[in-house]
This record gives sequence, structure tokens and C-alpha cells, in this order.
Amino acid sequence: MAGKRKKSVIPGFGLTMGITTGYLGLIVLFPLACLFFQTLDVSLDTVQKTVFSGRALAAFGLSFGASFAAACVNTVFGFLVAWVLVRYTFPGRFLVDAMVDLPFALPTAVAGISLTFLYAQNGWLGKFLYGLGIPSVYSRIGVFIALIFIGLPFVVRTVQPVLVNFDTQVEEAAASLGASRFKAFTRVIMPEVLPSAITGFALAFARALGEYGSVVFISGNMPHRTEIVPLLIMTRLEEYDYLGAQILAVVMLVLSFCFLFLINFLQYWGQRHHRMQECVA
Amino acid sequence: MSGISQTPGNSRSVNESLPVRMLLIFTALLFLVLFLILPLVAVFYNAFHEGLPVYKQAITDPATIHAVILTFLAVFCAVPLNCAFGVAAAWAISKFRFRGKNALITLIDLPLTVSPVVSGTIFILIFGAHGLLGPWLSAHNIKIIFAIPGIVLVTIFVTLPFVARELLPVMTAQGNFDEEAALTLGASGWKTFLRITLPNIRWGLFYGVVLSVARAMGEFGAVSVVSGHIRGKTITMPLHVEILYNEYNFAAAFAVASLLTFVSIMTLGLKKYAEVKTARQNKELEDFMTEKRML
Amino acid sequence: MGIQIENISKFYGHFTALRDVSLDVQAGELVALLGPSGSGKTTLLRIIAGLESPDEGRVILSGEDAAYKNPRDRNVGFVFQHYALFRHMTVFENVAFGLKVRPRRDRLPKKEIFDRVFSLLKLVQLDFFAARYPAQLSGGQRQRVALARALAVEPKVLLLDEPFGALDAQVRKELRRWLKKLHEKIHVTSVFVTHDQEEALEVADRLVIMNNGAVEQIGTPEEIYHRPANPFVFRFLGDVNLFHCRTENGHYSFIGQGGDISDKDGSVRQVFIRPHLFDISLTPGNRESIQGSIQHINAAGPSVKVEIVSEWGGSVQVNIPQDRYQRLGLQKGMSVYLIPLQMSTFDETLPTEEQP
Repeated sequence: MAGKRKKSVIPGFGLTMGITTGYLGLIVLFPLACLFFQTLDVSLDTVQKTVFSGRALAAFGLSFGASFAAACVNTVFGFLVAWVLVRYTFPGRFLVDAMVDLPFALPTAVAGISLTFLYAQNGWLGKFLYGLGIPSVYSRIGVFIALIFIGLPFVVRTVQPVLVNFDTQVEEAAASLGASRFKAFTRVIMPEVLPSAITGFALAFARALGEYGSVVFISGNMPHRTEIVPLLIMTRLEEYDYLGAQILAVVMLVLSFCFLFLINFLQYWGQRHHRMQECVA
Repeated sequence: MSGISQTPGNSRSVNESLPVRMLLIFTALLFLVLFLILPLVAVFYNAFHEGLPVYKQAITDPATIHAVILTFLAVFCAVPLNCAFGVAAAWAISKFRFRGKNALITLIDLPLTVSPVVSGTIFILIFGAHGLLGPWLSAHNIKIIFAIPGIVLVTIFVTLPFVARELLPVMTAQGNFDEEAALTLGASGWKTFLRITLPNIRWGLFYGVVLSVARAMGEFGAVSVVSGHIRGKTITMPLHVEILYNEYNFAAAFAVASLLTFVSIMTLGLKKYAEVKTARQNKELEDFMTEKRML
Repeated sequence: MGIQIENISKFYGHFTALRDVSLDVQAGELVALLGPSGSGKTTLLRIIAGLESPDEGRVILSGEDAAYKNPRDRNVGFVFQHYALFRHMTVFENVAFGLKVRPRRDRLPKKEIFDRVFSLLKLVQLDFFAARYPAQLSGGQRQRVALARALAVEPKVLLLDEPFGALDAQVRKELRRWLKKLHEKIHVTSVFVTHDQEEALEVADRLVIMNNGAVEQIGTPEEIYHRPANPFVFRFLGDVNLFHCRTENGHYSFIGQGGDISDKDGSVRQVFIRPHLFDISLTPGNRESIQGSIQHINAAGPSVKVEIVSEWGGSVQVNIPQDRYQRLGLQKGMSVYLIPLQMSTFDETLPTEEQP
């Protein structure tokens, strides 16, 4: 056990590291490696045909478009919710704060059927929207609505701690120097919050891109129109087109990797940004 | 993460005027009502809409009960394993210095970013009939895909990060001093872990487990891919909701959904509870370090 | 039960935390490791405890090489800087921990554990707080719990990392006197780390002055204070004024001020004078003196602090007794002569006073 150079006195490195790498290898790394290994055999031509077919392109278009739009909405409202929760007191604030995490905890299938009920033509909210000529279910708008729901907590939860730690003296200083409330907000508060808001946006976008459960019920699943990529993969599997499903899955996986690195980078950037601020203070 | 603990000063210069404040609160709350509260209310409204007898019948239906049992089976397989993994991973990462630590953390996070459908597809492509191990498995008469092992496997994959992610920041913040103190006092590694580390991380661990349970019960996309939807055999609760819904049996679908919703509300409550507890623990830790509390 | 440290080095990547450190601690001694932050003193303490392992050299505890011994087998008591008290345990449970985690065959009966813990709590005057949690105690009380906890396992060696570092100035003073008394009572071999020279000089039997991972000087408080081995030790132990001095056949004359010596022929030396080792005179007199004018006077305190601008334009700190100040009738702006009462010189390559 004790070599000439022991690294640390805390015991259990071998055991815990063994468990960690073994388990990760078995559950995560081995399956992923298999998938990539299998995909190496696939000819580029087939990949092109699968990914650039009209139906797949439409699905990617919808997935990206709706996810982007939903993440934008969530960034604006998520910031607002975080602001209200941190800065103001009102009855039920504690409850509202707890509720924000609901989309993390609620099974997506439950969210899907509930949203479909609400936004259907004769649903509680659909009634008004259809009255305004907005088809809120079985349409791209339906996809958009479902993705807003599942991405809602991300921006709130990334921005909230930054606002909590924000030193209000800085705002007071801005005010004492004659800045209007609006100027103080855009010049002093926004730069501080921006990195975390962007991280939240990326998290919400990544989550929306892969979402399946809540969308399938509300979208209507019409090829070329309201079909998202995860659903297309599902369809391919049901048609026993495993190769098609595999290629699309690999594309989605690569996108996930990219997002993971982007998000890690953003968090690192945000922390560094923060640390620099602390150094100044 | 809790933002509730601190309310900034009421100085005029940093507060909006009352009408602006009211407008902002109103807008935020309206958004939350539309996208959070109403879906929640709708679940229970539809579940009980056709009366208690219908509700009772829906949740005591043999198919429902079977789905509940299968769901709990998946939870009981996945959560303890991921819990043990999470504790081991958090210990290895937070207590030691080694190369490739960030890569390891990224790998642990991976199942969170992968689309559930893609996760399921990966396992089909390995264990399915046409998959890499498919011929070998069928030759030995082992069925993973479209069977319970597949469901358990994807559930493990999807909930793998939660315990580790909750514990990592807690253990990193606490440092090694308590463990070192216990070791110099003659405690063995196991005793140190059980008597010192475990009590220190209990709330993080508790919340990690709660989150894993909730996610394991509610996982839909990944399970849907590998289950094959064989009635009475591979149907978990979320899949059962889907089947009932697609059969236009809305009342029953929402009744089963209400059970899952109840679990998720419990999760949120327990989260808040654990958060309040950890906040208190952290405050103690901070007081310890900064010596604020002199008697 | 002494500690022998033989030629220990420790590296963190390219950073050298300890460089060839050797040290003997006699049984029953109370030794202070004193140095600025980053001097390696805490690393050395952790190596003695077995919490870090040295890259080179040996630690010998009571005649036994401890290299392959875990901290749990070394029988050392370690008091952490922030105490590392177990927050989920009461004071009693904290102190009893080391006794309760022993393997069953070595474990004391419950009654004896109880008695031992209570006698220790009495020793640290905390027997009334046995049922409290650490969060309900003051800093000084926590410190004493940590000490009792470390003593409970009857260590052969007691190690304390900045034992008073996290405390208020007032509590610090009380507690270090108390620690000195406690050590006289129980006489366990002890090593403590501090960056506060006053604390080290007051409490320790012997001091080890460390800088940049190496030992600068080892000695009793008296030796160290009155015969510092080198400029670093001299400066570290208190305020000091630096001058340049030319020596020629027994005579010396001040020729400048500050740290750097431009002269290369070897006849110019650096001279160190503590603020209280000056006398102020209004006339030049016949002894070698430094001329200057008073810039600032602070008469609040046991002695009067006078800041003087010397003939070379630098500032000189001088402390003189109150009565002397009254007698001279010093005023701001007055021209005065500084007469050194005691000077120390060090040759950069060859210390004037070698340590045994």
C-alpha cells in the first residue's frame, strides 16, 4: 500500500477511483464507444442521405428553431423571475421559489398531456389563443410552448445566485453618481448578470434540443411540419431503420458534446469574471 | 442556490417605484401561472374531473399496479447503484488531486445533456437484436431490450449524475480537515467516512437521492425507446400514462399522472427542506471560519 | 518521545516547500515554528503528523522511523488552525471520538472513557459545556475543545497549527499564557506553528525560525532575540533601522542608510539597529551619531515613538522612554543626534555570530 511517495493520507483513493472509472466506463463510456465505433463503418454517402433528407432537415430546422425561440423567451422571463424573487418581497415568494424547479421534477409525459389539455382548441388557454387565430396545439407553436415549459428553470437558477451575491452598494454608487435607474440597470447590473444568463440560455437550449416526452403529445408529430429530431429517431427505430436512427443519434450526441463543452466554458468564464470582480473589491 | 435568504436594503436608490415593482411582480407571476401552475392544476382537475370512483378505479387497475411495481423496481435497482457511485466519485474527485479531473466531471455530466431518446437508442444499438452484442445475447437467450433489464439499464444511465453532482460541491467546500482530524485521532478510513464524512454530507446526499428517485420514476423518452411497450410486461408509469392517453382514456391517464405529479411536488418540498438545512450547515461552517459568534 | 527531523525536503511541482530541514525536538519540550506565511512551517508540522509525506529525508518519532506510518498509528495529537471540530457532535463526543474509534480490543470501558473525557474537560475548563455543540461555543472555547480532543488519545507528541490564529487579540494573550501553564503541567512534547513573533517568544522553550522552506535559526527565545543569526531573523523579530557603516581599524562611521550596499571593497557593512536601542541627544557629543530632524512624535503608549528624517533623507524609527522624552522636550522639526546604544552587523556571506 504505502509506496515511497504517498500522495495523500486520506484513504480510499484506489477504491473510489476504481468504482468511479469502472462504473462510468461500463454505463457511459462503453456504450458511447460502441456507438461511435459502429458508426465508423457507415459510408459518408449514407450519412449525407440520412441527415440531409428533406424530412430530417425539416426536423433539425424545427428542433433548432423552436429550441432557440423557447430559450430566448426563457432568458427574458427567467431573468425577470429571478429578479423578482431576489429583489422584492411578496406573499408566497417562498412557494414560488420552490415551484420554479417543477419542470425538473415533473415527468415529461405528464407535462406533455397537461399542456396539450390546456392549449387544445377547447382547453382553458387554447380557447383564447384559437380565438385569436393562434393554433396552439398540433403545430409548431405547440412545440414552442412545450419547450418553454421544460427550459423554464435554467435561467432562473443560474441568474438567481448572481443577483443574490450582487453588491447593492455598487448600484447605490451608480445612483449617487447621477445614473438613472435604467442606466444603472443596463450599465451596472446587466454586465454582471450576463455570463450567468448566457449559461442559462445554453442550458435551456441544450435541454430543449433533446426533449421528447413533453413535445410528442402537443406537437401532433406531422413529418416535415411538427416533427422534432428525437421523434424522428423514434420513428426510425419503430420502422426498424436502425442505421438511420443511429446516424441521427450520433449527430445529436455530437451536438450534446459541443453544448457540454460550451456550457463548461461559459461557467468557467462566468466564474473567472466573478473572481476578477472580487479581486477588485 | 436558494435566493430567498437575503433581501437587499430598502434604500430608495436601488428600488424601483411601487407601480414598476408591481408590474414586474405581476408579469413574472403571470408567466409562472401560465407555464407552471396551470399545468399542475390541470393534472389534478382532469384526474378528479369524473369523480373519485373513476380515479380510484384507474389507480387500482391491475395494469396500473403493474406499472407502479415495475417503476419501483427500476428505482430500487438504479438509485442505490447510482448513490454508491455518486459517493465514491465525489470522494475521489473532491479529496484528491489528480490529472483529468475536469474530464471526469464532464463525463459524469454527460447523461444530463444527452437527449433521452438518444440514450435509449444507444442501448438498442448495443443490446438490440441487430446490435453489437445482439447475436451473442440471443444465442444465450438473454433479453435486455424490450425487457426489464433494458429499462433498468437506461434508468441507471439517465439518473447517473444526480447524487455525484449534489455531493461534489458540498464535499469540495468542506475540505479535508475533518477527515484529517479523525485520522490523527486514530479512526480507520471506514470509521472516518461513516462517522465524520457521512454526517457532514447528509443533506446533499439526501437531496441527490430524492432527485434520482423522481427522475427515475418519471423518465419517459429513454425508457420508451427500450421498453417495446409490451402490455403488462414492460410498461412503467409514464408509459402507462401515454398508453391511456392515446386510448382517449383521459381521466385514467391523468389519474396515473397525478400520482407522478404528487411525487414531483414532494420532491420540490424535500428539496426546499434540504436547502434550508444545508444553508444552516453552511452558515455554521462560515461562522466557524470567520469567528462571528463570540459568546 | 523526542522528534528527530532529518534532511527533509518537500516539493509541490516546481515549488520547493521545504529544503533540507533538520531539527531535534527534545522530549517534553515546547517548540515554536516561526516564520512568515509560505515559509513551509505548516508543511513541516503536517509532515511530522504524517498528513503529508516528505519527498526526501526522515521523521523519527521516539527513535522509530515514521516514514511508513499512517497518521492514525503515529500517536500524535494535531490541533488544526480552524480546529476542525466535528460539528454534528457535542463537546463530549468530540473529545471522546479518539477513544471510541479504537478497535474493540484496545477500547477502554465506557466508564473509563467517560472519566477520561471529563478530566480532560476539567483540565481545559470546559466541563460545564460538555453537552454543547461546537457552534454554541466561542472561538477560545472551541480552541480548548480541539486541544482536549487531541490530548484524549494520550499522544506522544502534540502538534498545533496556528493555535491562536483565528482568535481576537485579547483572547489570544490569555490563551497562550494558559497553554504555557498547561504544558508545564502535562509536559507533552509539543510543536506549534505561528507567524506571530511575540507569541513564539513568550510561549516556546525553543524557536525555529523558518523562511522560504529552510531553517534560518534555532535557539531559545533569548538567544534568538539577542543574537539573531542573520538579517532575516533580525528583521523578522521586530522593527529595525538599516544603516551603512565603514569600519577602519576599530573605528566606524555611518555613511548611509538603507538595504543596498554599493561599495565593493568589503569595508562597508550593513548595520541593524532596533528603534529602542537609540538615544536621542540635542548635541553631537563625542560618540559616532546620526544627524536628523524630527518629523513626527507619537507619545501615546509606554514609550514615545519618534520618526526622524536622517541626514541621508531616509526615515528612522526611534523609541525612547517617556521620562527621557519629557527631559529633552522634543518638538516636531527639531534637529537632533541619534546615538546607537547597540548595533548588529552581519556579513552577507559570513554571520558574525555563528550558532552552535
